[in-house]
Amino acid sequence: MLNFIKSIWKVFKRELSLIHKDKDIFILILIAPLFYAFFYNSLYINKTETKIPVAVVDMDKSGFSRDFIKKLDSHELTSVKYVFGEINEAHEMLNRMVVQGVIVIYPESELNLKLRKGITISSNLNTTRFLVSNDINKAVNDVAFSFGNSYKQIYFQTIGYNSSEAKTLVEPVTGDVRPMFNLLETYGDFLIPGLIVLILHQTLMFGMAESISKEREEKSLAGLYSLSGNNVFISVFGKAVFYFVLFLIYALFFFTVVFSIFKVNLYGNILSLVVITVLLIVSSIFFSILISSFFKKKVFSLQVLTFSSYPIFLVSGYVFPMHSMPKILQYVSQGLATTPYLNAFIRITQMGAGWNNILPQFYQMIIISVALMVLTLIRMQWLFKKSIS
Amino acid sequence: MLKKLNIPTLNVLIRECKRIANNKAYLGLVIVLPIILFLFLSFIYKNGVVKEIPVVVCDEDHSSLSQSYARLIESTGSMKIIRFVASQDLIKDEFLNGKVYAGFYIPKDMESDIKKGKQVSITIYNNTTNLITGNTILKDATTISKTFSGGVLLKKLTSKGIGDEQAMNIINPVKIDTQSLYNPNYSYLDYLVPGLIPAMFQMIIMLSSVLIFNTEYSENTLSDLIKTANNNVLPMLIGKSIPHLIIHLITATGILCLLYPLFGISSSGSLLFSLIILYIFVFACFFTGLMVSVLIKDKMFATEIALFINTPAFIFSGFVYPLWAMPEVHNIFAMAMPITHFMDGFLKIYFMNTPFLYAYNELYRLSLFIFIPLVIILFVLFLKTRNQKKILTQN
Repeated sequence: MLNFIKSIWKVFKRELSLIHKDKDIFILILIAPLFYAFFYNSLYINKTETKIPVAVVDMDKSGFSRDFIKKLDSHELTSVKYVFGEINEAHEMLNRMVVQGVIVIYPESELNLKLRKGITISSNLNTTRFLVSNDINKAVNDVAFSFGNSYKQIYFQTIGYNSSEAKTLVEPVTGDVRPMFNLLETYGDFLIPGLIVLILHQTLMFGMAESISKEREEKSLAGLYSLSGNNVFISVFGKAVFYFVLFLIYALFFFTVVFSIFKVNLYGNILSLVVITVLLIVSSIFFSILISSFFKKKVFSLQVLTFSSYPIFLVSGYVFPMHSMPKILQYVSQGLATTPYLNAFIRITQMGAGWNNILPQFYQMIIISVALMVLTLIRMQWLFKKSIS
Repeated sequence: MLKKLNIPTLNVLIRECKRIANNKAYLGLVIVLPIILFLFLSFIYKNGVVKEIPVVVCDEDHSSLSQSYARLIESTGSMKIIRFVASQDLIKDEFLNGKVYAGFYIPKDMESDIKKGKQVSITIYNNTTNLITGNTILKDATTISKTFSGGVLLKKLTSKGIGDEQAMNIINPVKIDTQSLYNPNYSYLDYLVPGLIPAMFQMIIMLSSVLIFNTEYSENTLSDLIKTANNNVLPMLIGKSIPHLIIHLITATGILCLLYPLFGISSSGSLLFSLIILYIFVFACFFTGLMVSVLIKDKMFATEIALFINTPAFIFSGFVYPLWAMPEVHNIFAMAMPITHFMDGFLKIYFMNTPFLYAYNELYRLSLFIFIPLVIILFVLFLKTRNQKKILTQN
């Protein structure tokens, strides 16, 4: 046992020296994670967009239309940048992307409302960007509903109902939609937790992969194998132990300091979060060793892992829901550790889930980690044998 | 035979083609990777819209009216009731187990309260940790509730002898007619793929182009290149650039003429103009990468710079999260990437079918990513050629 620890220690020291001498790995594992954690996430420091520029075409020019424009402009999501008399100028602004939506109030709107005829307001949204168009839609509907409800209430009062009865009649059944967990429904609270995981995962894979490819580039695998007493297990674990410890420290730093700076919630069981994070780090280490072992140049393994990180994140179901993806991708995605991790991570941190809630993902991550470990050891054993022969 | 013509540009071009042909990793990066990656990204969003979001219902009323409400939920198509639960607490359990995105709570005595003229509130718990499903649920749950409430009110008003049309005008005095321009079905395929693919394409072009000149330094072949170019920087630049640009331009053409039609990504704009702006984007990315390549000798460091610029490109481009909502410093970073300027111009031309000149600002800014690097590249190459000449003269 003592010999085993001594051997691991020797390989560990060798790895420290390798990182110390290699500025590329040094940058990737010691500077990039911290820089990205603050730089990426501070993008969403405002958490949500406000005051999206819109144009209104006021063909009515009445008290109602002026009130409507005023309310729309004072809504936190929209800002009425232009008021036009006819539609062409407004569409010109939409086409030039100066405004993101055009709201049209047709002639005689106020008159029709007084005659209880009902009116239609046209909301033309540029849906090439969903977040923006969704927010304009919300604002326009909020304003229209508030106008509609006050007109309805006035009507019911004029036909003999008292104020309280009229209020009930305006909306006999209300839909009280309550946002859960991301209470302010902000883009920042939605994306920041996922980005933190992406940064952790990406930089760990880059660093570990660089280290393995460097061994191949410099043809030093034989030396490593010999130092470990020709033991593939010691070679791989001795190399990986520094990355494991470093990225576990990063993870804890992210979950405490970075979460706190960017006001990200951490409601759930910390122990379960740490346990699944350990599994993510372990599986990512084996995954990157396995992939990078196929490249003889550092630069190529870095390129390949760069292009794998976006698809791995996108297929995890974190952004676009898993059940809406093609079936085959759903199966492929379940074989990647980030999928169960992100699933469990978001429920622990944002929803307060505990052990019982994440057990299926925990077992799934264990299976993935063990499978990757076995494949990595087989592959590395083959490479070591090849390097000495 | 071509080489015998002894035209420096042609000689450099032939030399570069041979280098490319012998570089399997480069070929993998610029030919194989785009095919696999772009097909994969498009395939993720193949189904386009978010459908059948799993939801649960807690119906404590068990009336015909509450059943009608449940039927309305399923009729949206965006939501699917996966089970009925017995209490509100179980809705929370379903959330924690990650099985559902929303829970509808229909209170006891809903039907009888409505008949008595009491206002009833149906609570919809919306899991907004994912804003894509959260926004869909918010939109459709609000519509369902308004429709349901309208139906109750319509019955009440018509029972008092008010005609259907008049009743509808009373129920909904201010209607909103939403025209979702350019992507009426809210398809994520039409929305995300045309943003993701250029971001990945920029990364591929830059990661490959940052290695074009510094490989000559690391392999000690710079003097050979200068000799082939007859000590002239222009043939050196043109001859080396053409083969790479041809590959990228073919990829660009494939994106617009094969990939997008294959996945049914709808366009209402001019294909020719869309291709022109995409080609300009290719040139912008290529020459920006090439500039890094002449300035930085170390291949690995050049790759890291390209990574630093490109890994956040998609999220910083303003395509998903708008530029005006970002802090100033992030805005400046976003402006330093071709993708930011390309996306606005491309959306205008490809999806919004605006006249080509409406993208003038974007084209102008993209052209700066071509001309500024070109000046720097030529200047650095000129210095390097001069130094090389000096060394040769001294020897």
